[in-house]
Amino acid sequence: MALETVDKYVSFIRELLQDEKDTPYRYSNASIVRALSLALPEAKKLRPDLFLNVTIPTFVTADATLTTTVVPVDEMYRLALAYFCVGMMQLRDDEEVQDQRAAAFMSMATAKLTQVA
Amino acid sequence: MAAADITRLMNNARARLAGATDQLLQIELFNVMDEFFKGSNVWNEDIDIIIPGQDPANTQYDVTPSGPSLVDKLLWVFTVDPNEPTARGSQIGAFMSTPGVLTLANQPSSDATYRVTVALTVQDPTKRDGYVTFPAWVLAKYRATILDGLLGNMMSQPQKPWTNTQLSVFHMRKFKNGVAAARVEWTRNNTYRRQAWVFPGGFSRGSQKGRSSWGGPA
Repeated sequence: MALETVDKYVSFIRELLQDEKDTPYRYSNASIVRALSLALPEAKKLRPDLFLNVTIPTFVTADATLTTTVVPVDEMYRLALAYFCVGMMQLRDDEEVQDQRAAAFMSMATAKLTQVA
Repeated sequence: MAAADITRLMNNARARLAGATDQLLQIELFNVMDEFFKGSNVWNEDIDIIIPGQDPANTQYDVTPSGPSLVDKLLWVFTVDPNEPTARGSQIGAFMSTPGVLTLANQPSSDATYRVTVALTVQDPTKRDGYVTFPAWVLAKYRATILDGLLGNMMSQPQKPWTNTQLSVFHMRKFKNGVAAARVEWTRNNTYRRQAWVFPGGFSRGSQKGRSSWGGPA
């Protein structure tokens, strides 16, 4: 199954961002993991039922733990978190991206959480 | 692993509630069963308690169900005659202003055993797998009503992928009708074509005074 742990999120998000070559990365691990930490409370705001009896974690970028740190969200809603992170990455002022793309990913994240989309 | 009947109920609900998690379904199932039992009274238990003679008036007696459940209402109290264990004794006036705490209208002068019949509802904790505990026959008999309650409650939640106010009203109406029908069946002890009225208690053992005339404890 995909997207159980933080490192799987990071690699999937890099795939969507076309940032898979560490020469170095355009978007740092710290930045992506911070976005993932922000995605969980944002998702909880829209869907509190997804986090019943769950304490929202704050992820850190210690590489050794990324492979084992589980992201506590139901498998039906993992893609929404990934889209949110891609949107957050592209919100920054960067000549490579357009604001429309960032807005599209943020909207898709919301839609994934609140609609059968 | 959940029993086959609860799995069937959950699969029915999952198919109609795209995106709903099992944990949320289990929470709403608890709410539905609580409303169902409180509205229908179908879950009953006879509990024998020994009343010491000469207790002061208004002495309170705890009535504790055998399984994980909560006393909702006092239905009736009868004496248990140790010399005639197969016969029902006379009816006793009793009250339960706090659910689970019995108070008698008149204290017995000598030790007596009273059979207290109560209506139960669901209680925490749920089972380890998250499912609420209640008798299996209830789900077997009222599976459609329970599914309607579950769907109605889930669909009434705001801003969820499965939110549907129109269908929520539809299912909740069916649920309310199902609860009312269950209550009527219970008052008739699940018998076909039986009238709600039963023959006065003067023709059976015990006093006619205070005997129910609407079929409950027949």
